[in-house]
Amino acid sequence: MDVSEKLRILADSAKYDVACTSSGVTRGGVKGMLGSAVGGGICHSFAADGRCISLLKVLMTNVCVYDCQYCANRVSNDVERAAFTPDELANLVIEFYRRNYIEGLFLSSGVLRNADYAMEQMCAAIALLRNKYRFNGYIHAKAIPGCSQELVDKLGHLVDRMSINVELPSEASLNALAPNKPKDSIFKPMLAIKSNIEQSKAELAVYRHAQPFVPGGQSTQMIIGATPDTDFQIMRLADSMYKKFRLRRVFYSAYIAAGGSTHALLPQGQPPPLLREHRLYQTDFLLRFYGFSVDEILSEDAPSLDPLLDPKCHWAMRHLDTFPVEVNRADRETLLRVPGVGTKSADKILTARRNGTLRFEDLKKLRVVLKRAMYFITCNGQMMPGVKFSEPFIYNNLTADVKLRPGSLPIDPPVKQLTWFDATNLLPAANDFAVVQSGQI
Amino acid sequence: MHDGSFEGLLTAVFDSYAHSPPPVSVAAAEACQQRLDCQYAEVAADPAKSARVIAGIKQKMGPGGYQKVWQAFLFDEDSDNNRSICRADKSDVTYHYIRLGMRVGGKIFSMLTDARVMAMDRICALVGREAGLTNEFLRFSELEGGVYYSEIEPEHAILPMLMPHFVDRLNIQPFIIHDLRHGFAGVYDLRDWYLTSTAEMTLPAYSNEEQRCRRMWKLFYDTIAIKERTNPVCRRNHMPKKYWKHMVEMQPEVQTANGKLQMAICRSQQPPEME
Ligand code: SF4
Repeated sequence: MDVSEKLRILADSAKYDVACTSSGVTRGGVKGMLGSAVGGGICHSFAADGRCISLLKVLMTNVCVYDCQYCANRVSNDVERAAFTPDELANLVIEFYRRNYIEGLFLSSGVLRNADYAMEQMCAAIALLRNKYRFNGYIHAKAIPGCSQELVDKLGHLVDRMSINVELPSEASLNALAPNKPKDSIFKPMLAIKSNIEQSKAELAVYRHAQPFVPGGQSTQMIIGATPDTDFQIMRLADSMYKKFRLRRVFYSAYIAAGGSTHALLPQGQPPPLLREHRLYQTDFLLRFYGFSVDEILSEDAPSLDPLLDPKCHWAMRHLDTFPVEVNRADRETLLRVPGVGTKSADKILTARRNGTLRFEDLKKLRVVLKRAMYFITCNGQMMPGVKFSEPFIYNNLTADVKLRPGSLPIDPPVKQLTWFDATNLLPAANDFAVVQSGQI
Repeated sequence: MHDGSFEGLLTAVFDSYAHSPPPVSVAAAEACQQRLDCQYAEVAADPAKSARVIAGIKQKMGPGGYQKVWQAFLFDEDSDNNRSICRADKSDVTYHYIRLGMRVGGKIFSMLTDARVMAMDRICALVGREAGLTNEFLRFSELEGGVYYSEIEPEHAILPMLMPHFVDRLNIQPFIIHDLRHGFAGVYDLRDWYLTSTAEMTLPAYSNEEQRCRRMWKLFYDTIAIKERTNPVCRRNHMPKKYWKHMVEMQPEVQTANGKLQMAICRSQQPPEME
């Protein structure tokens, strides 16, 4: 089989992994080595689905002895199989990198023979890239659930980021759909990565030239909508992983029934829940950058995010007593809780108001988007002309541009929460994706 | 009026301090439409004066101020950006910005609603955004002999912003980035890099590997998209169409005379001779 055949098969089987970012590490070029890394990450292209292509995202092999029901590579599925040799893969990375097609490599693998054997293959390819080809660009590797500590350790010293995918948000779902991956096989290596990272940071503080371990941090991914787990469960798990394992990112991936599995638990013939995925990302940003806690947004009694309103608006509607906020006096924390005011806008407001009182015209000059914010702020004690501070007024305006099946838009508050099932025909607007990528909510 | 060079502009700024009241505007002679009711003075570029202005900016406003002035100078008034959105005259914008900055110092960075600062930030942002996107989307091709060659058509003269990034990153390969629109190129020869005019530039043909590599990249690009999530608007927002022309993965595959598929290649310098 020639290399392009392999590339086709192994890119195709890697495409459902969402993490393609190259962020978290800044490393200048080194004379005689190929590559550098830029902290914010660089996208080199955008695929037809609008997702960023930053790294060459492929599997080492899609041969797999496990039988995860949600995955097209599972042993019981009849698909074309292929495997790269370390040299083939290293060569591809170098040729693409030299042409500025990519920022580096994102490598994962099916479980060929067993977890350790598959990890060793990945290590071999990456070691070749680093040592023989002197590659200094970004590498993200996915560790294989159930692999040994030593291999985590070895791989971690070669790559910038490591991830282990949780895939399913509850133990029950894991047991049902991923019989070969007990919970421990995922969380143990995650914990190992975390403690290795901490140890490496301590070492680096003493010996500046120590080889860093996973300097770009670790991340994980959850599949959304394959199992009946609620948004509340998902976000609670994400939150605890951020805290317990110091994850850099949790990615959410709308389930696409590509594996042809007819397992009773899996939804059949439904479009991927893109809006739900989008709302989860928004919530994730609120946790990481806006000082929110999960309990403020979701609860046992209200376990689903609102399809009609972004989670910040939804929170604000239930806390109208804390609004409107005076732009000229509010602190950063308070500004960040205003719907539509992102971190960038908040910082611009804080900077600009040092030179005098801000009016609504000034906010426009600062390019603060007022579309949602205008219902929740005052400038110098005044609401924006034409805006009434009343719940029905705000609610109707905020939801006015949501395209919905005729008749199902609730006309009067109080808000009836739609279930995700009702909302399958709701799609996030194209610019919402941009918002999520930049995290300005 | 100055001669259109960076030094000329800074010299004009320097000389403005000798006039009271200060001149209302500074412009490149070429772009200046003289009006009968105004007085004009021509300024000859003077390296000593311009160096003093640079030192002054750095001292009063800090290195960030000089970075802005330098970046604004890469702004191209004939760009589509400028004709459609902001219609700025960079000489004039820079002149007022420097005069303000020399007066208020570092405080200028928080005067985000001042018209002079906004005008400056605007053109710097346009230049910066384009440089950022070009960093992402430009593509190199390997030529025979191992030189990597890239063609770009940016609206602004951003090449000086691109070169350091690629020299740092791709220091093991000689390369050329050719700005077709402004007719100059950045050349890295494994030791230094420099800018050169491209009136006469003859290049070798593409290497044998090039075609294979392009097809593999196109194959990867087409494979990695999830068809259930197709979203052309989102793609276009992130990757504006004007960049597609020079991006390998956005070219169609074409049939050659002998019936083989290969990647279309557009290149301005010479017709491609590729198997
Ligand atoms: S381990 Fe599971 S998720 Fe990973 S490739 Fe194998 S079947 Fe797919």
